[in-house]
Amino acid sequence: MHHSITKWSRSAALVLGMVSLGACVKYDDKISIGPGNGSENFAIWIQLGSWPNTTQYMVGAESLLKGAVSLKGNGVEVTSKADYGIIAKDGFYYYPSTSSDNSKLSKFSFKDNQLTTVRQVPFTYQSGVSSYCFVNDSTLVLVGNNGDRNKLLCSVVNTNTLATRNAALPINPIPAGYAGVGARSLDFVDGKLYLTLAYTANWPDPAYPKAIVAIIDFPTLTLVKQLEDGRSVGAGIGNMWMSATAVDHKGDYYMLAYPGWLSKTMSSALYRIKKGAMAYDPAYFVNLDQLLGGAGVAMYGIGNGRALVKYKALPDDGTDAEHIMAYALVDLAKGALVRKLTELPLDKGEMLQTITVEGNNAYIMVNSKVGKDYIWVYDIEKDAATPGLEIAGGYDYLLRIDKLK
Amino acid sequence: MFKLIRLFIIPIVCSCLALSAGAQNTAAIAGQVKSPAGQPLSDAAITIQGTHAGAYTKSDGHFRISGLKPGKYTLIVSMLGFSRQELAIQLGNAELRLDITLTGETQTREGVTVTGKGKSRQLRESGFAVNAIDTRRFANSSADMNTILNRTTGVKIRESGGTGSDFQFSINGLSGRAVRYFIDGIPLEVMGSAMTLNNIPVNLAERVEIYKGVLPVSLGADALGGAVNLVTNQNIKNYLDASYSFGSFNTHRAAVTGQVTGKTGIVGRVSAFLNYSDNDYKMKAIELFNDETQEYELRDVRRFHDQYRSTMVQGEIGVVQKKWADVFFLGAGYSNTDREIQTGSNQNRVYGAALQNGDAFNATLRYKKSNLFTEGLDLNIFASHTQDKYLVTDTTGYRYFWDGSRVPLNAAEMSNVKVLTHVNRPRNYARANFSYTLSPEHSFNLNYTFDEMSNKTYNQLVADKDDNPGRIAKHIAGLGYQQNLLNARWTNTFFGKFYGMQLTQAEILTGNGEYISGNDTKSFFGYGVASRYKIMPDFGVKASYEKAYRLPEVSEMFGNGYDQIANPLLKPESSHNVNLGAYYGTQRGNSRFYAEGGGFFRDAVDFIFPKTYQSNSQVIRYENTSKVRVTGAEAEVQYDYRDLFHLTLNATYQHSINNTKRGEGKDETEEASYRNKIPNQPWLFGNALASIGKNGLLGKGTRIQLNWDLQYVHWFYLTWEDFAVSNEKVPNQYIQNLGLTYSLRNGRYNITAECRNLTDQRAYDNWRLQKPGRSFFVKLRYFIH
Repeated sequence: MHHSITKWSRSAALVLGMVSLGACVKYDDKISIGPGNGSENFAIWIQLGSWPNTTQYMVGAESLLKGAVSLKGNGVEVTSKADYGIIAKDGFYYYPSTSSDNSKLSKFSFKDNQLTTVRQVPFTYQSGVSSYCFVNDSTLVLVGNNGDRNKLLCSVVNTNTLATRNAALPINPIPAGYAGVGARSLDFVDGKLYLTLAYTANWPDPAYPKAIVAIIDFPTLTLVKQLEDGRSVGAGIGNMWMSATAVDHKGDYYMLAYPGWLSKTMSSALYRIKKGAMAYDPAYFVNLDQLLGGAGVAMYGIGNGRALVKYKALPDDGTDAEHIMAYALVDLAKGALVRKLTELPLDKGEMLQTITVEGNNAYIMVNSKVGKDYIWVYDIEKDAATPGLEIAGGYDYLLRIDKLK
Repeated sequence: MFKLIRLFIIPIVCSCLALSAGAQNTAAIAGQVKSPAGQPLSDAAITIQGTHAGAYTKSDGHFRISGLKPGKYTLIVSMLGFSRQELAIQLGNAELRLDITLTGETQTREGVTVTGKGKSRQLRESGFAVNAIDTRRFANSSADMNTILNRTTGVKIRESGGTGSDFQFSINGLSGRAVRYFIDGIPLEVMGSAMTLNNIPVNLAERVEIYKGVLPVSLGADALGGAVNLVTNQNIKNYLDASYSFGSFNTHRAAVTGQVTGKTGIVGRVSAFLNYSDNDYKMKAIELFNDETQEYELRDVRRFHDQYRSTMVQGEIGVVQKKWADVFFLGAGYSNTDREIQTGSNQNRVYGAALQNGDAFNATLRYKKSNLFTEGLDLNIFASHTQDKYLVTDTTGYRYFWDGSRVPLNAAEMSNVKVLTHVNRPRNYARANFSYTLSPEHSFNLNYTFDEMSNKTYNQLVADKDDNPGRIAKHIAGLGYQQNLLNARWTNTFFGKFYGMQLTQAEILTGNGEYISGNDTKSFFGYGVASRYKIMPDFGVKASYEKAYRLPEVSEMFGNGYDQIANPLLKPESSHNVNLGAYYGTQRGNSRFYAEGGGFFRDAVDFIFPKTYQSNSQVIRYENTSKVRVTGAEAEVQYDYRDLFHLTLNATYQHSINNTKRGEGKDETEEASYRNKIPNQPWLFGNALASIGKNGLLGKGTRIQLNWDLQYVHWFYLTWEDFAVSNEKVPNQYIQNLGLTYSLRNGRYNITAECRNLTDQRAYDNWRLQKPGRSFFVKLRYFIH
């Protein structure tokens, strides 16, 4: 049965692919969502060129459901202005210049394939921002490091004026024998900031072997409690680049721990903090390596207590060049695998935000080793994934997708 | 195609040998050309009227022409500044010997336009693609080497700022470590890392040779894209050239070079320079935050942390023309650089405290002997030891802005982590060059270089030494065979090169985080050919080819043991380099005209660049990342009217494309930028230089000369041209410079006033790294010889 479904889905994908091929030709002129119509609902970030002549582009798309998009005469080059470590909300981007380090906090709008500066202010308090969350529509919290990477710093930003209030976060001191601390995901849960973090050593020495969540009161920024568990370590990549947490409809908080280079022995895992609790749920621990057959690296909640988990389906050679990533549907509450999205080809090893969720659809941008690259449309209700917008042209790195409106 | 070239080299060599054997004749003429003072004259042109036979005198004034049929001829000897001589000669079966003294020396001062068919012209007419620049023409300019070389074909130097700034030297589209630098055939690095083309005054060299893509074996180096060779004054005459210039931005340059021969025959030589500049030139339209309006605004501000100072002194003492040695010199040198660092890779990154200080000592030995053991066998030996070290200071806790203001920041400026990085690079270098002239038709050159360098780097804030230094030893051997056929009308040089490298490092970090010891030996073979055929005495065509390499550095292969991991599979960068060219020169009355042009092709693969490893932004690994193909054309014309007027016009077009067909990990689709023009590279540029001068206008022995030059760079895209709605362009640039020189007593005293960037254009070599606007300089020079 399963075999026939897979066969059917492959055939469907092939047919859809052929349709898309036609669409590619048909829509070739239409794909330039050029200036003037302001119709883009999504932005796609793409890197072009071979090293070191790589440049990053943004291109708008009205829909991710069908058609094709290309950078040929389309999109805008943003390398010197912003990068994919950026925050998207309600049609605006907030960019604390984490990579270009130009000491500015910028608010951009993206419309008609133009990334326009709305406001910029000097921003030097943090040297590297890795985590963010919105407390409300006009309050953005940024967490990152000082220059020595041994403190976590917090900036509370008014998104209209970009005025900031800065403070060092009172997390527990770095354990003896470790060099630094890194922030990963930040969420505003039930009036408090939930910050995942790791105490790190110098690469390649392993990190302090605990999966850690600091619960911080807002707006006082005082530490309420810092939770630790010794069965895993790390917490994905910073949520400036990839999500690794989810809060379900009951208000329960789920956290994905991904060791990566922080530990050679530990597995990736899921933890839960039930609504109102100030402790990990002792009854809940999911070994994701066992569940998925490879380490889980990112997680995107899609409602109904479910999440899409990005995981390593093949061994990692460390170069980012290989296509090793796959996606799986996980029932968070049960800690169970619903199914692997085997209809998707394996994705390249980028640790970036390749998923965005809108209504009943989750969009998954897949950089395929063979054939064309698509943004796959996962219909949450129907539990079915089909190729959507083709990203035509042959790009090495498909960086991120953002919902703009 | 390249296999074909390889296949054809051997048959061609054989056929040419046969050709030359058939061309043997019995009559020959040899001799020496001297000045009225008895000084041997090099580069005098000797021609036999009515034939294609001819030669130039060597540095000792000697010449030899063979392959002539016995009979009566007219021998013509000419050299700029001397009266042309015509001599009736009769050749028999025996070799005729003639000593010729030229007369009527006229205005051959330094600093005037020298357009004789000197060594530079001879090089240009060799089979190699080479720009040979007679730097004596620019001796009164306050420019450094880069400024002069940037005006020649195929060369584009991109500086990041003012005096002493970092620069990228590109030859026919290949740059960075693809280009190697030499001084008298010795790598410039043996003088220490403080010696670079942007601080060497123009007076220190007599000539500069820029080899494009194909290098003679005598320059033993892994130069993928080409090489620059500075040639100093090799004459045995005593001389002194001292100069001092000063000008805008508190810029001072002083240079001395000279030679003195004692009564005992001991020769002393010294070269020294000092450069200093505040580099406080105005940066235009800089974005600054206005605290009152709470908005960014554009303002003009002065650079405030870009002071530069470099000094160098190099001395040699020895003997010449002894029985046991033509040349034997022992030398020692010291160089020093102190530099404030103002910006990062673009001017949005402003530094206010970062420093770089370096100094180097060297000891050298030079030995040369002609006709060693047998006539025609020359030996040239050079050996040196260098102690080169520099310190990068990046410890501030402030972020600086262009108005000089700063805010506290718990981080360093250039990187997050504060560093006092010591880099020590002791280096041992040796070169032995044998050249053997079997006959005027056949000569051989065997060159071997040994270049060993350790790299000891540590951050003084966390360690007091490098516990894990890397060491690289390069053995480069080359064998060249040159044949001069058809009375030297057709010259071929065939060569093969062996590149051997030994890399050692006590500990290297592998991709999975394990430490192992690093020890590797690799070898590669390169080969090539350079050919020139004179269709007429002053019209020739030429072609050259080389399979060239750039070996990996030890740090690229083995990393640094903490945040750069090893990649033992790293391959050398390699390239197939092809040049085609032609030249033509003529003289009619007082007018001289010279033109040369050609095309070039580079097919370079396996470029080495650092890449982030395992999505961990703190850890990198060097990888072979990309391929580039360059095709282009260049041309230059020169015109002289006596020593009154000189004009040079040149233009270069280069089309560099990304030749990386498959993206990383992609099996089927072509990379989107495949065959697209490489962005952010000038692809069309040219120069115009004109000078007009008059002797005796303000009295006997005086000369007044006006120099003007224009550098044009056509607009180029900052990013891939086919992509995005509109691409940012670096606009057309026209930079003009003007200089006026007044010389007295036949060039002994010279004073020059210069204006650079006359029209005050906003100049960029790199976008968002502004270069100086209009500036003024005065140079005083004393020259006696």
